[in-house]
Amino acid sequence: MSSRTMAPVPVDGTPPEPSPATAPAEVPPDEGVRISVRGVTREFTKRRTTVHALGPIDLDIREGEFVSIVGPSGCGKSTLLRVVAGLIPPSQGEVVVAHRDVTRNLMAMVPQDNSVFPWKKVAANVRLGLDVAKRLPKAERDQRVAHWLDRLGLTPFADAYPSTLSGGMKQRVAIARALAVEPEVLLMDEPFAALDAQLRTLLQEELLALWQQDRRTVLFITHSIEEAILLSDRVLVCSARPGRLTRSFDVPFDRPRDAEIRATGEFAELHEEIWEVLRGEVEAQLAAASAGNPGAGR
Amino acid sequence: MSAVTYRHLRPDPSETVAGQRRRFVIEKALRYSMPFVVLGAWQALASAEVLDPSYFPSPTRIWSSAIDLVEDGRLWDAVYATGWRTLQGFFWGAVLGFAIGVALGTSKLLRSTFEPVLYAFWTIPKLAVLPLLLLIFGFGDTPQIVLIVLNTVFLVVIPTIAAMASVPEPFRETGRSFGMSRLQTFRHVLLPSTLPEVFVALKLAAGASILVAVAAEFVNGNTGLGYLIWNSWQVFLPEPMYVGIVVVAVIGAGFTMVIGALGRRVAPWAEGV
Repeated sequence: MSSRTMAPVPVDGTPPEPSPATAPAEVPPDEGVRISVRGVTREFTKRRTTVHALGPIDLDIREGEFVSIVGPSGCGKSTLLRVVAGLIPPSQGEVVVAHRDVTRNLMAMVPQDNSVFPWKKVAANVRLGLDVAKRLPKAERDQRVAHWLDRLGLTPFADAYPSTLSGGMKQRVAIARALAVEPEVLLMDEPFAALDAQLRTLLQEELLALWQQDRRTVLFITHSIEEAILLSDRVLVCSARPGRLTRSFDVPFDRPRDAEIRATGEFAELHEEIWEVLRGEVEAQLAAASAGNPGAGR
Repeated sequence: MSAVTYRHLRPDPSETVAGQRRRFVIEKALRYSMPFVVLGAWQALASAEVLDPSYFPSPTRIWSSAIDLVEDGRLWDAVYATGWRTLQGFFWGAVLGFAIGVALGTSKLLRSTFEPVLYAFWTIPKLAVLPLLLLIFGFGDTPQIVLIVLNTVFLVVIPTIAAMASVPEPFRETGRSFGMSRLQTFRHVLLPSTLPEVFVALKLAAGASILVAVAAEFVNGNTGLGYLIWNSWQVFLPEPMYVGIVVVAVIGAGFTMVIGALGRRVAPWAEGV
């Protein structure tokens, strides 16, 4: 087992000032913790103004846990996902991700939309991660691609260009592409946000079934409380910018669960409880945005 | 109080299959008959001597001049001379232009360093540097080819930079999230993402290459279609001049379409190449 650490890289090239919020380096997280986010903040500097977008965030995600983050638009939840994915460094703090089997891909990501390459046919898109990593012999890669095309119902479209597919099918390609590398951690950034309500419901149910077979560690960003409850073990609420994780809700439904839990009173109660918290944050974000003050709270 | 009037919304006959078919036939008929109408009118006006035949010889006289030029081999020689220079200049210009475009498009540092210089050079009329090229490269094909290379480079570089710089962020992030190397990012993301725009640029550059080749032949040299046109004018033979003009137009259209077809082969997913 090894771990990947994303330490801060200062925006302007000067060494970071020692800060009490920064956890001491080289302390491994507890056993059973897959992703450990410690004191992470993120700022964006554009010209001469610095916007404090995120944090400080402290978050431990356990092995095999499905964690969702809901929050108002612009609260920085996608930024957190990008930091965890290693796409952007944190401004302060660090993220430690345990990599248990280094012969496998540590992470794969399903972005919101328009991430499927229009220049590759569906099958070529799905095998992208496998071809890039070159860990498996070619025959095994072919097998993997066939398997995941089949599991997402994409086999008939294997030789089609994505431009001929509907939005829902394209998003299935993005999911198949991420799952084909069979990553230890799956990061999903509002993967169903661009779909219509019915397709969305359908794909949520498909994802629920897929996940319950493999039980990978998942960090899931969404706007939809319903989606978050249905899929997750834990739902976190992100505050208005700069985003902090203000509340955590454990989802009490047993696994494997069924999409029918949506109709239960317990589901509605939890939905209401989360919405009460979220509503305040959405209003705060709205007020801050109208005041032309995107760095609210600073 | 006024009386009530009613608005009737009824089927539109032009929306029927027969109506659309009729419209299609009319469009095609107009499209393909127009050149003949123009030629016919030209012929009639020239025969009636409304047009001065020493400036506007009739199409039939131009046609017989074309036959003569084909038979004595002068037309083929001119097409070959212009065509070969154009091809060489276009090829090297495209290669160099794409390479520079990739370099500047992927490196912000190179871009901010060279962009102003690039635009400054782009603004200089390429024909204005022909005398300088003649000084450097002497007479012969080289200065003319270099001129075409220069023209093509700019036409390819600028769109390539723009296309490289505007590769959508989700594509780049997908590449990075799979841990692509720089080379893999280029191969799987940047190159295919920019190919459609690069081919649009190449199509424009193909036509412009012929334009520059012909213009250079006006000024310099004694071969090629440009020379044929210019020399005919100088000795006051309008028929071969028109033959040269028409052949240039046909070659220009053909070359542009060949590059377009090549683009559709290389980038079959792209629309509008």
